[in-house]
Amino acid sequence: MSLVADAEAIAAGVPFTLAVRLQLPAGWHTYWSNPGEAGAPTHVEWRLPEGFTAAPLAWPIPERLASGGIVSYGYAGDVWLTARMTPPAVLPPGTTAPLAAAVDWLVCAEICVPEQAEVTLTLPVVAVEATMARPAAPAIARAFAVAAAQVPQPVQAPLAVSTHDGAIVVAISSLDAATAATAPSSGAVTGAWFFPDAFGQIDDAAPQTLERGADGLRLRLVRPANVASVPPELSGVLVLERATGRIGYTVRAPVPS
Amino acid sequence: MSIQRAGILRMTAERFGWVAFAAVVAVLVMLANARMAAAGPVLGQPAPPFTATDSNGKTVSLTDFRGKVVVLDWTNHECPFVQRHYESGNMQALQKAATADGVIWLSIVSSAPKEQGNVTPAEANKLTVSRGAAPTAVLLDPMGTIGHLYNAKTTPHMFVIDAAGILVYMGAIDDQPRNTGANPAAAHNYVREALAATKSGQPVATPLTQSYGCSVKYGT
Repeated sequence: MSLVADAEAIAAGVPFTLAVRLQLPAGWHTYWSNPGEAGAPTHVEWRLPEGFTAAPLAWPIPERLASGGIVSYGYAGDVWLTARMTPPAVLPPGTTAPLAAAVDWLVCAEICVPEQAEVTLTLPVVAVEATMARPAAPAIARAFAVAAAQVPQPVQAPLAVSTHDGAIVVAISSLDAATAATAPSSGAVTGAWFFPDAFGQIDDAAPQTLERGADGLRLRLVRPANVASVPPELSGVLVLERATGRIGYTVRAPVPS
Repeated sequence: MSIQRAGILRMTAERFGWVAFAAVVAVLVMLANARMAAAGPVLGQPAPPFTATDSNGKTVSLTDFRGKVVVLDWTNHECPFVQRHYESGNMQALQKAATADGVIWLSIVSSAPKEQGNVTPAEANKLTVSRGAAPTAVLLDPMGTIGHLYNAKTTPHMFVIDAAGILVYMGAIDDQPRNTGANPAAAHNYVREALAATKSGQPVATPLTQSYGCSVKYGT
């Protein structure tokens, strides 16, 4: 667990990005903001000097983690939870800015272990025009670029959702078409997954099926079995996989009852 | 119904005639119903019946308790979330208040053999004493039969069944999913609220919540 910045020095009013980095041993995982059927999300509380503001945590797209028929949403490996920071308008060059985060997280393999830590990073403050001369090391800059590409993007394409018996069917052709041209990815969609941002929208454990129908690509989800009514909307992250990688889109669409 | 399945049905009908076809359809409908029933408990519906052996070797059936309110509490004494509720005294207090009120409290261990939280009957009884717990019974479910019947996902995972045998609450014990910094005493306890509502004949205000905790260790 460490705190990493995308700049070697900061300046008054110049935004930068901080990352809480978790390097998980093989076989262990942590959880997304909605952990799914088990687990608990990582919780980050920023401890920043007066006048600094933090944007909400940017969660990278999660993975489906299945174990014993229970499906959670989370991460394995090298996890970067980032947030954009804005220093105050007045920040004297020559001083330092002590930045910290109190983090608690649950890490699970066969068993779960709750962890907590405070991570700190002190950055020098320079004049605004000097920040350009103090970028992060190339390896760090690359890692932040990779992390940013994993954060879901807002998208304008409307999603058509229909219901059939126990299924919720999401037509994703319009999303595919709208994003194929702009996404840093190309090729046909080879996989798709929906991650609900809250409980009760879908049966989390049920398989999600990508189908190619007469009307194009569809993602078939299963509605929750234990409630009488269909959830009024789908809200979360839709991930499309192409040959060049996975891109997530934040989506929100009404579900017809 | 998928196009492929409809095609197979039509071929079947042509070969065996429409009476046989109707029988096939009836069986398929029954299978579909059975699958839905297997998908887990449904709020407002009768809670799925089960029979199990408790930590004293006694056979316990859900139907034994018709006329009484029943709490099902999935547990794993090695799960940090369960430990938090016992170390704070929260779980014992809830069990004591509920059972003093005539509620049947069944703690269920669905950890498979060799998985975390799996206990022998003697270990289960020892844990009840050492933690000052007050369940009516601890049910041992090493095959995960009851766990799968109820789709129990986490420890803790809580279910409240009213005196008529209807499932009225399923989900988390409270609204404090964080594994650290949470304060069970200050929490909004959904089980306590469901029991209070059921006792006064009111509908449960929050009948379904997202349970949180360790996954139930069903094994593979």
